[in-house]
Amino acid sequence: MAKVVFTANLKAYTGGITETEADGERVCDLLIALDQKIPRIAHYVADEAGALRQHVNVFVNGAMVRDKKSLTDPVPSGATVHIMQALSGG
Amino acid sequence: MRILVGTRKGLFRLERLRDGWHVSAPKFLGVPVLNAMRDGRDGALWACLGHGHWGPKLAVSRDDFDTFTDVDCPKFPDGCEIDTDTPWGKEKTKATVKALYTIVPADRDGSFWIGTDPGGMFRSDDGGETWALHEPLWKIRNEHGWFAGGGGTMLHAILPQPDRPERIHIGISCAGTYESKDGGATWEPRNQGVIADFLPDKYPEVGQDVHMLARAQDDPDVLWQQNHCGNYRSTDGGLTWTDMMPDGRFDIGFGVAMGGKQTAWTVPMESDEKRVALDGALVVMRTDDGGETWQELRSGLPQKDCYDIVYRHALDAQDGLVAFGTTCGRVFVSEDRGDSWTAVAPHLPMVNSVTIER
Repeated sequence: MAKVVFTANLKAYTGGITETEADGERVCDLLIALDQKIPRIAHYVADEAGALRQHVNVFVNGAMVRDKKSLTDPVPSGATVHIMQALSGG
Repeated sequence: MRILVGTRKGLFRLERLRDGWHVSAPKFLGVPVLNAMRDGRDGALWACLGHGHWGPKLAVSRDDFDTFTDVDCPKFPDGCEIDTDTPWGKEKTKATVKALYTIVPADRDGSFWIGTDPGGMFRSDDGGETWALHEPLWKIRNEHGWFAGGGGTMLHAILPQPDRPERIHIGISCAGTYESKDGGATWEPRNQGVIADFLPDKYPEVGQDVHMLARAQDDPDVLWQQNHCGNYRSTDGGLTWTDMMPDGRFDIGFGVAMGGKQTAWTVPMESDEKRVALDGALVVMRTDDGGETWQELRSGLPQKDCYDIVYRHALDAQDGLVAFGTTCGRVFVSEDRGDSWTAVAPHLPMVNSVTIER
């Protein structure tokens, strides 16, 4: 089980949830589990091909994920995962 | 009279009351709204959103603009691929919806069509709850080699014939116009006579850059298109097209709106390269004789120090009401077919779409 922390800018689309818990061996699995809890949230984070959206960042235990195309980075048990809005506007 | 205005920073509704036009508070403040429409069948309002961070989204209001809720966004199924430009050439990548450009009612209650970048057309038959890629057109997209202009491969116009909705004309940049007479089972290109002067073959079967497509309200065979390379009218359902502004001065713009079969409005801009208002002034062009002659409509529009242009979905007309919004966030309305204009919302964010509620 991982702790998931959402950027405040996603609050409007998570039903007000800023933190939750979800299970998944990899970030892509975690997103599927999150989508069960918070309908449609995965599509905010990744596109339908499973790639991280260009202006979104995901951190696992403080480290930015490396595989942004398929989100296969592992999520260790007890990890904290931050889903953040990337700095895209200068 | 009400008008939905999609802007770079939210959705607004303009309403004509006894004392004039009023602007609503925005919905989706801060979120780009590419297009919006009212479904005349049940009064629902639909908005095509293009979040800068979170991707394209679709939202609906079933309480007349008070609240909007997210619904499932069209998505490409596994196995759909497109050519993507890379520094080392084109590569096949999985297709994903980049933008939602238009949503229109289809031929049954609760059915809709949506047009997207990269050229996918999607259909819903359950009131917009779920969406499926329209496979026949996707197959044609790949066979005919549709390509992307600066804005992508934009399927931006879907025009079901009102009294015969299985007959559909669509506009794609860059592919041109297509027609289906059987609800989308088969499609034929309709680009004869339309130049593509950015290609070696100036009159290809497909590849034209139609900027917007409109159908006459009283004759389904009369169509107009504002093209990257001219301003064209068809009187035979798109089989052949004639350039109605051959002198070139007013021939480029994005939007086009039609009234009856003799009447159309456009808002020209200064050249492909510059893309600003003509001579520092806004002008609306109107024809009432099928494009034989044009009137320059300027009353009430800024005539100096003006650099606004009007995007493809930001010009609309219905029953004498004509409205448009500009890249500088100004919405102008005419209640006399364009003879005079009022800036009813002069300080909005950049306008993507203007849709008169029907």
